[in-house]
Amino acid sequence: MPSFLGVDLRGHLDLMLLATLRDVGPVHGYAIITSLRERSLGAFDLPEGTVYPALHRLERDGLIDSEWDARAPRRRRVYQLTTAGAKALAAKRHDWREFARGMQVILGYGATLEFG
Amino acid sequence: MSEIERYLDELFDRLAGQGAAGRRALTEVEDHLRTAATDAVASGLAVDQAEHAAVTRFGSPAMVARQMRSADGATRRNRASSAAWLLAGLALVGLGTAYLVSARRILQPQDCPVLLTSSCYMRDHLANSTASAVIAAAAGTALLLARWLAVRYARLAPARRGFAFTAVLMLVLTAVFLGIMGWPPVLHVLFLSGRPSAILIAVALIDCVAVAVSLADSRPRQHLP
Repeated sequence: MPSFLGVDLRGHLDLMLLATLRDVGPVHGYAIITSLRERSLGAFDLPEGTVYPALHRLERDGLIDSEWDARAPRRRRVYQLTTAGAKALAAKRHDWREFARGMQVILGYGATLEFG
Repeated sequence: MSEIERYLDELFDRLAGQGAAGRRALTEVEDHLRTAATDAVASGLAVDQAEHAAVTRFGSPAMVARQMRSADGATRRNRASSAAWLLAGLALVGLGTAYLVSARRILQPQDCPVLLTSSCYMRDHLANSTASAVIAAAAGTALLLARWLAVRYARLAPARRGFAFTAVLMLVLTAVFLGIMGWPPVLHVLFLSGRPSAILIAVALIDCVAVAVSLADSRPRQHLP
């Protein structure tokens, strides 16, 4: 599977992280990255170190929250979506659908299969 | 020393000066790398290969540290803007109000001769500048109100209690200083019609101090358990 390590993927990292947290619930960074890779069938195989700064930025913006997991054998930060994050995710998903629809129209019918 | 240890040492050096945010990042990275290496060993890799794979997949310490610093830098800018905004509002309200109070004392009714005495001359000028002081106080109030709304609804960083206390203290000390200097004339220079730039310069100077103080005191205070 191709890996999209360029700017395009990084531009949509926030959306992917919010969507992952919505679907898998409160998890630590490693689980988020693993989930992201597995759910994309390896397509989104970005440098893992880029995820943590993005998580910190989302937390700073109030879209996710985090706390130390006292049950883990090592100190481990667990992240979860906030109400504001859920709203932002809904808005970003809407924007993405509009973007994808527009791109399909521009690229032609054949592009639909690639998006799917 | 293992490859993960070497990686963490380098990241530690590159995150120097980041305070609690840096410690938190380092703790998360260590957990991530050790978990990834453990998973790789479980899937059949040798320990050395597993650690190398974990470190390689994570990205270079320079890249990670740069992005971590960038995220923290945005926070600092947010706090600096918030602090400057607070100080500008307080300065305008404080100086405007101080002028109006001091001018009111001098503007008591008195008979002035045709040839103006110095007190009558001052009175005339103070009366001309009162409008500027009212505008400054109103503008300061609007700034403080807008800042409160930005903190509440636009994620502007709130002022730390210590910083807000320092800001008020600075304003009071400024008023006392102006009082020692004979503040109606000094404030009069600030609000003199035709010299609004004096007010802007004063506010800009206070803002510079606010930004400097804020940057010196803006490290996130997130505590490890």
